[in-house]
Amino acid sequence: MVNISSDVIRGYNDTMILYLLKNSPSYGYEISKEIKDMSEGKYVIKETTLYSAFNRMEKKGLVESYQQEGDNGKKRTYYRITPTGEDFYTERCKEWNVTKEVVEKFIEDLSDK
Amino acid sequence: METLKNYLEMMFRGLPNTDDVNRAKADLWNMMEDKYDALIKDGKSETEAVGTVIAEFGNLDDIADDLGLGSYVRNEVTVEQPEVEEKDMYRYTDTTKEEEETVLGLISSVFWPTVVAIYLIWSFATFDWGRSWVIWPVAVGVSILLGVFRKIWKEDK
Repeated sequence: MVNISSDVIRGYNDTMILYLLKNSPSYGYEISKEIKDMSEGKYVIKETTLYSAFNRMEKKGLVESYQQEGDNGKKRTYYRITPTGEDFYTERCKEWNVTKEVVEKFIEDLSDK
Repeated sequence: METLKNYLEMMFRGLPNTDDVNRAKADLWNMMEDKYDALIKDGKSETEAVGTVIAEFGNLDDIADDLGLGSYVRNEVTVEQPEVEEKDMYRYTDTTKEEEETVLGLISSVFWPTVVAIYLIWSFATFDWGRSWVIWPVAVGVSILLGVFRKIWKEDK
């Protein structure tokens, strides 16, 4: 199987996380599991990458963190998206659509190779 | 589980005891623990679970800048890889340093003895001591050139 280049996908970690937080607030492991499941195991985000993304987005005001106890009584850092985060997410979607359109023009169809 | 705790401790060893660092450590630990528990629940062995968690953990370089610790992490933590018991983990360690030492070792253990051997054979075969000494400046020149080529080759890589 072709591996995803982490250089390319790095720019979209924030977008993926924000998409998931738009549904409901969440915490580290749950986010990483959802990313893995949604990508059918093709993309596994590293813990340090995820933490770095949370940290950066919190500083930019895209997400907010708070402490909450989970079902088993374990205290975790949860994140929720802010209105700024929602706007940022929409902008990133627009940008991706243009990016995809441009790059696609240079990609060959390999279905019969 | 103890192995994971030690792994994280080693990663953070030598970092300053600031709020940012402690928070990062606690949150990363939570993520590792959650993933480990989920893997065990899926029926993975303890060794497999530990191996997966460590393989997918990443590198402290990723968070160094967020914590304002760029130089700390790059100078201290990533150079020494933490000791981990399970065999699985050896493939994650950096082998570049080892390769480097092999190349240097090869040069010093093969090159110079060869030069000495050539000098002695040449000298005793011809008894032309007045000329054979030339090998020394030539050998020094060659070793400098080798060093330069190696540097260029390494930068190309």
